[in-house]
Amino acid sequence: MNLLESQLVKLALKGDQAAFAELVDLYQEKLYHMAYRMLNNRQEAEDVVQDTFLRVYNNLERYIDTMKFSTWIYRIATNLCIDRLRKRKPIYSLDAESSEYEGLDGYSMIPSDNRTPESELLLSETQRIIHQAIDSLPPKYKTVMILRYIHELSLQEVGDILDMPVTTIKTRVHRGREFLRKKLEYRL
Amino acid sequence: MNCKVAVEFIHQYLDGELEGNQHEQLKSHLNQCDSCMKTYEQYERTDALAKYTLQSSIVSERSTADATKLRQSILAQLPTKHQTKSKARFVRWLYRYPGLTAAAVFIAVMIVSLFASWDQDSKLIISASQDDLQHVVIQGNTIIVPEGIELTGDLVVENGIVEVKGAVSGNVTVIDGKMVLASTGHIAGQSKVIDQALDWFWYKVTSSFNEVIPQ
Repeated sequence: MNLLESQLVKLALKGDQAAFAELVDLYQEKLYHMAYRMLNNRQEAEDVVQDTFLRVYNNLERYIDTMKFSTWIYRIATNLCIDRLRKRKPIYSLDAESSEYEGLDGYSMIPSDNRTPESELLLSETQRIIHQAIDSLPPKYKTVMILRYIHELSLQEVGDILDMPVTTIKTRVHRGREFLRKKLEYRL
Repeated sequence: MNCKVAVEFIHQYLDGELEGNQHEQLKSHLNQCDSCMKTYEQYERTDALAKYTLQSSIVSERSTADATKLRQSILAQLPTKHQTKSKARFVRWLYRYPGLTAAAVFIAVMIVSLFASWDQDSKLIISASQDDLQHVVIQGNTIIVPEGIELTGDLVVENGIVEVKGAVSGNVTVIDGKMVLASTGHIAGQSKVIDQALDWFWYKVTSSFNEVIPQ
């Protein structure tokens, strides 16, 4: 158990907001990266990060020392991401005209994002294909691969976060790797 | 080693899970089998590329201004804690030791119910089997087992006097009362008079054990 983190949790429990702010500083980037990779949407990723910290704050007294703090916070965040992915299920085509508002299609209903879109970043073709490949992974593989690749977590840690046996995680890593290899095959 | 096992080994190697001499086995297979060697190289590159892409592109995307903004909105959203500290600690303790909590509640309920039943009142209470009750004579708060009658089971009397003139083949127990054994009377089992709280408590405990564990 990380000493600094457990100390911060204790202080936050006593109502020390500065201590909680430090936990936010320690984890917000990591959580954002993961959520953004999972959801592929900036706004949703920020929402997930915000919800995660809110839940952490409200449930601090239920946090048990036997679990690493990172495991706990990643578990909350991945669950929130998976929930959102599930709710997304019905896919609406952006090109279809809206039935409610005449003349409007899906694009006009999305809040505009005037920051640099990913497509304009200096991404090599290979990187773009990797993004697409990871994005097309089925959610249960996606979570495992993202946790593995972004944070280089051990199989055991990924298992703890997702509350699954290590053997299951192993199988998913193997299948996920095979899936990506097939997608990238002609570039490797 | 066949190729199926080799592919499994390759995955394990990339996950850092391959052990001792398995390295050697995999190595010798890869040196002989071109297709597995190719698979190995592809997997290795997939991992490397995916890691590199996911880790690098992300960092460049997010400005520190975005991070500060998010930090502020997170902290602004936190509810103020109105729980008193000691209550929070107590609740946390309950969450941490659910077994102990359950045991404490159980014991508390048991003790309360025991003392509640001890303190009840001074009503005359007789317990015996139905057949036996038909033969017993009750006069005021005196229970008489008449001469020539034999009770087959146990007899328990609370707040009363018991006069045994006949025979009882079970136990006779008198709580908060008296027992008179006539010269003609005979009790085959044990006879007990309980007056004090501690005796009474002990009686409750042993009798519930006797009920649970048939002799």
